[in-house]
Amino acid sequence: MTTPATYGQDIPAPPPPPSLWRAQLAGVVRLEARKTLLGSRVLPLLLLAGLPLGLLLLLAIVPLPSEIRQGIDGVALFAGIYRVFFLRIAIFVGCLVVFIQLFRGDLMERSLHYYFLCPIRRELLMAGKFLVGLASTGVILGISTAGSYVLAVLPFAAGRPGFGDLLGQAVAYTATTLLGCLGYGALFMLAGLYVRNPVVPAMALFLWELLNPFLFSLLRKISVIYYLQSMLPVHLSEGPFAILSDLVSPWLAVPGLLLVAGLALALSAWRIRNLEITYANE
Amino acid sequence: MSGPVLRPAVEADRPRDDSIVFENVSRFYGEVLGINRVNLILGPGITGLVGPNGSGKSTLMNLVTGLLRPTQGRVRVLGLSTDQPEVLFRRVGYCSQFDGFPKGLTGYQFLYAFLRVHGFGHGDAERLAWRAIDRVGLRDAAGRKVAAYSKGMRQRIKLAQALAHEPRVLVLDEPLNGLDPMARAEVLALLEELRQAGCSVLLSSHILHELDVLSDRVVLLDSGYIVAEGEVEGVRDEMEEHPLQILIRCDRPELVAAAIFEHPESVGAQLHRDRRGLVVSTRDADRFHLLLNRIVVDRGLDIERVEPADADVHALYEYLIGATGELR
Repeated sequence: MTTPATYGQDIPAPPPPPSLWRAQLAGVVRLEARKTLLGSRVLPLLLLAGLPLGLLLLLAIVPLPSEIRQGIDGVALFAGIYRVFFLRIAIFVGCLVVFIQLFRGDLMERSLHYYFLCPIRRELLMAGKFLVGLASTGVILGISTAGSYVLAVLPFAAGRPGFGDLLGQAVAYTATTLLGCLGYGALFMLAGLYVRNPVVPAMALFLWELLNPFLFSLLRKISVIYYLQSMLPVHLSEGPFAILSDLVSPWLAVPGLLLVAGLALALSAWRIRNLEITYANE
Repeated sequence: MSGPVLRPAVEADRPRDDSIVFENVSRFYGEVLGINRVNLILGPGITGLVGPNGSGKSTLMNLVTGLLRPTQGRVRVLGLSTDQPEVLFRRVGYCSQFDGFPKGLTGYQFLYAFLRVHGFGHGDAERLAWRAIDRVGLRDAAGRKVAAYSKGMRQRIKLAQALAHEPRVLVLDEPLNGLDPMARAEVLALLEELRQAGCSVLLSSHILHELDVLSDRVVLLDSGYIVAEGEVEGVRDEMEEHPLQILIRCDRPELVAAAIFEHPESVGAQLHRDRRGLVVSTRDADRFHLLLNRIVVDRGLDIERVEPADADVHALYEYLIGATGELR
């Protein structure tokens, strides 16, 4: 072990912000991407993303009588799959497993203090972690959404619109998935900062989102699914008791969702700024 | 543990920009006391934190590094608030007691990744990571996953992480834990070199004799309170209720024992079993040394050595914390 006389003498001065912030953000993103994409937390996400692709691929290649194949409305088929599987399960659970672990995972493995011992603004740390979560879920579930749409619509002729409409729908579904990751991601990261056991807030949010179509107009707006449903290119009935009449236009849905996500991120930033490290009972 | 807090008056009592300053700091965990009303100024050099389990050592260190915030009072490090991590951790490094690591990283990747989070570019991060790895003697194991490291290697890589950006203030919570004797000696040598480089090192250890050799000053904690702080000998001199013990190795210890009892400053003497020395208890060390000089000259004694027998951290611990404290 050696400590040369130059100790502390040749440490380069940090660049001024915003160059420093960019470098630090890249450092966080690099480390978090490694932990997220090379760790076990990506496996449920890959499974959720791969499930519809696999099933729809099977449906596309399995030999069906031509009258049945001609009778399947691929657009309606995908609308149903998207509403039931993607909106309710894949995006929700995918974001749950990735985002709730961003801080909770580090607290559990007692390694969050290494970040806190770096000369980085904690809000920047939060931004870096969130970006990695968003990129992971957005890319994987976005590819799954677009791929599933292609596999659901192209093999079946009935009700198929023109190419321009098909492309528009594919883009709308994919964008809805990305915004879903943004909204649920922000909420789950917040939950991971406040709650030790993620099952409780996850179940509560799941129930809240499930009951959303049946809530009063004002309460419906305090959710993610409300805005996501408003952005869907094809609307299906939620059931005889659902209140569908007050869905907003995508022009209002996007800012509404951004507002919900922004609020959750602001609360997370406040929390992370004031978070203490004790690891007690983690 | 009772009695007043012993604080030898020293010039360093004035806060400076190279100091760690606690101003009336208390920290509670709910209703449980962490530390209470701590006032402390620690300048450059090595400060040893001593105390039993739960005495508040780790709380004190976590407060210095901003991982905890005071319930009351204020902590400043080099004139900086601990609420400013973006500035503070350019100058402060912390080897904590927490034994967790990010999964899947090798020792080198661990250091490199967090140096990039500091904002260093690739080349600088690489250079600093290897330099820190060399400092703690882990080059051969740098390519192995941290998860596969032994306790001592994990301790060393944590030390490397605290040192990698070459901070002026180092806070080291039990850095010698789990180290084999060779590695322990190397870390002690490293700390000595850091002291010579002008760093402030705040160090806790349960290995008291090593703290004794290394520390410029000690802070003794018990149940969240500072029991004593200052240079070891200065603190010892203040403890009037415990006479200073002086070891004398000489050829005729009985003669010394008989001679010193004629003088009131000596309150006791105990001969060694080997009859080649004795331990004298005195309330006035200066007068005793003058007396001893006279005895040596008058009686022609052959003195091998004279040294304090209880002016060390272990003795302070025994006297001030004693049986109530369980050594870590």
